[in-house]
Order: sequence, then structure tokens, then C-alpha cells
Amino acid sequence: MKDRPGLLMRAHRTGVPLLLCRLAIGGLFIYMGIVKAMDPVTFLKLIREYDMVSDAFWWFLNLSVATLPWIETLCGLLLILGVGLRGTALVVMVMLAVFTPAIFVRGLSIHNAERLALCKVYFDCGCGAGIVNFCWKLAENIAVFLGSLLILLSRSPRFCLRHHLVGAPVGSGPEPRCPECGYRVQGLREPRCPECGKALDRSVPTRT
Amino acid sequence: MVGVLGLVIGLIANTANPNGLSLTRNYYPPRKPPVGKPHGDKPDLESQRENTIRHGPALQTGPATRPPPPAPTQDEELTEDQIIDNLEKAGFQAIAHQTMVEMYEDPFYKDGLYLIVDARSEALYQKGHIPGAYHLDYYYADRYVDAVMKAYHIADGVTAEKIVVYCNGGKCEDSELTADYLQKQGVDPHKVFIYGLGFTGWKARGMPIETGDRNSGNIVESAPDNGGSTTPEARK
Repeated sequence: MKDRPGLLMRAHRTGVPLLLCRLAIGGLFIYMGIVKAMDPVTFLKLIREYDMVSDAFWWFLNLSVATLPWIETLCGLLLILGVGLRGTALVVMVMLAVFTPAIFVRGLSIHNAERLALCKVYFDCGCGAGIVNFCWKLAENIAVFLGSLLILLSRSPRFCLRHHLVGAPVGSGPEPRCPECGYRVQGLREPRCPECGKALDRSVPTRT
Repeated sequence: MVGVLGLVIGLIANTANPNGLSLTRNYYPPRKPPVGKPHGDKPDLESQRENTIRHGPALQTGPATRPPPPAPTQDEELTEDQIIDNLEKAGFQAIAHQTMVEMYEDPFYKDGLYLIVDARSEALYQKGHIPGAYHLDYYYADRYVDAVMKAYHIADGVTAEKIVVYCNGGKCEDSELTADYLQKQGVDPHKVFIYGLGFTGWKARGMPIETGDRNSGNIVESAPDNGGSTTPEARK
């Protein structure tokens, strides 16, 4: 008899932790994106302070400043609605992978210039939250990165709008799906959903 | 796919946003060469210092004695001299606070021979600016430049004697960008100055500020290093 899945796995299979993660990151990105989109000049000035793009590539800087806030807002919306989750999570991770080291370098330079303890460094990182504490900002970014990684790796379609808008409804179509969570269950070794653990009908084709 | 969709939405939204960025404008172009020097030559700091009005000759009117230059307030990161030195090294003519006050109180200012230009955002300008200052937000300059240039060209062949540009002061670079922009619009570079202490320094030293539009009459007497208290009457 197969061992009962652990507490974390059982919690994950409910889809609730993932949903909370999506709502938190999605809400954050919508808020930050809209704040920046409404004041692109301030965002331009703050991004320029990072010296990531030479003034010779001003067109790229303008394009980034004009579009990044809207990309963020769109990502937030898609995460909350549960559409294109893995692609959205990947975009979020790429943005964080670019800006988190930049924030780290900037915080470090302020720490060296003003001889402040690292966690006493405050500055406007340009993320839309105003003046932030360096350590808290790094921790927040890392947490969002890990949350996005969880969303990227999870295949759970629970609480996702996509399957009502685009994908085949649960139980219909040529592909057999778990009636509980909608996970594809074709070619399984045993008649049990690997995502939520529900025992499946013997009519579901399994691998021989 | 998400990135591409976001890019498209961003471009459309930026175009529709009245405060959107211009994608075809270089907001940080190479600066014009320093005042009085052809491009490529080293700046002549000595002659610039002569141009820079520090504690220069008093303007037409004003009391016979003046207080010594004010010390930096606790919120200011740089001293006035440091700010002026930085501006000079960048190739601009700077104006000290004392001379700025004299200019503000000179009748030539009210007559339009001296112009003061606020280079900050619309929101900050409306919240408070040096009384009588024109507004020229560098990032949306096309909305404001006509009014400033009209004020600069007083009559046929006659232009204002001085244009003093300010922003928040300290490390704010909007005044430099605006000063450079005005020169490119045809303003005589020898007539363009930057008030290095900016609005922060002006207000911190208890100078009057005007809220709302230019010449609205809403003058606020600000207390030194504190917030302002309102008085309904204009300062005489």
C-alpha cells in the first residue's frame, strides 16, 4: 500500500498555497506596475540612476520605461486569473533576475559611500514602492522569485481561468483528465491521479 | 508570448497616456559646450567664475546691508559652494542664494527683465514655487516652452537680461537639463543661470512661495527649515 502523501504535498494538492502565491505576487505586480505606468518620468529618472543602459542607447531606455510597467501589470493580471501561468512566472523571474542584482549593487554602493550598515540603507529602487529598506527589498524579491518558481514548476490547473477560456473542460475531449483537478492522466502506471491523488476510474487508459 | 503581448499593450498604453514618454526623444542628449568656449576646448573656469554670480555687485535696489551667506540646512547634503562648483564644472553659470534674493526683490524682476524658471514637475510647481516663476517641466517641455520663450523675447531685438532656472536643488539635474534645453531653443547662454540651492533651499531659508498657477496671488510665508504657514495677502 502506498504511503499517504506528506502534509506539504497534501496542502499543495489542494491548490490553495499556489493560489495564495499567485494572488500575492499578482496583486503586488499590478500595484507596482500601475504606479510606475502613471508616472513614467520618475521611473525613467530612477532607472537611469542604475547606469544599466548607456545614454547612447536612450531609445532602449525609453522603450523599457514605457513598456515595463505594463508588462508587470499584465503579468499580475494573468497570475491572478490563472492564464498562461508558467509563461507569466517565467517572465516575472527574468525581470527579477535582472533587477535584483542591480538593486544589490546600488545598495552596496550607497553602503560604501555613506558608510551605513547594509540593512540601514534606504533608497528609492524604482519598483513603485517608494523609498525602501535595502534588506527588506532583497528579501521581498527573493521571496517573489521563489514563489514564481513554484508557479513555474507546478502543473496544477486548479483555480485557473485558462481551462474555462481556452483549454478543454475536465473530463471531455480525447485526452483523459482527472475529474478532481483536471490533470492529464493518460499513460499512468496506476489508476491514481499523480497531481491530487484521486483514485481514477479503471476505464482511464494506463501504461502497460 | 506574455512578454510580447505586454510590449504591445505597453506601447499602446504609453501612446494613449497624456503623460507617456516620447519614444523618439533623447531626454539626456550630449550637453552644449561650456559658456564662452568652442566645443572640445577645456572649460575656462576662471572666466566662468567671473560670470557666476556668487556675492557679486548688488542689483539695483535693496537694503544696504545683507546677511552673510546662509549655512546649509540639516536636510541639505551639499553646501552652496559645493553645488556652485559642481555646476561650474558642468559648464553652467550658477547663482548664489543671496544674489537670487536680490534679483527677486529687484523691480526688474516684476518688469520681466529677469525671468525665473521652475524646472520641476507640474505637481510640485502647483504645490509651491518661487513667486512669479515660469514653469518649464523639461520632460514635457513642448507644453511650456512657448510661454517662456515669449517672456524671454520682450520686444523686437530685446530679450530678458537673465533667466534663472531652478529645480529641487542639491543633486537634482532637471535645472541643468532645462538650462541646456533653453540654450538649444536660442536663449543666449550668457543669460542662463542656475540657482543651485533650488526650491528646497529657497523654502528652507524662509522665502515666500506661491502656490497654484503663476501670479495666482496665493503667497505662502514659509518658516525657515519648517513647513509654511498661510497668509492670505501677497508679500509686498
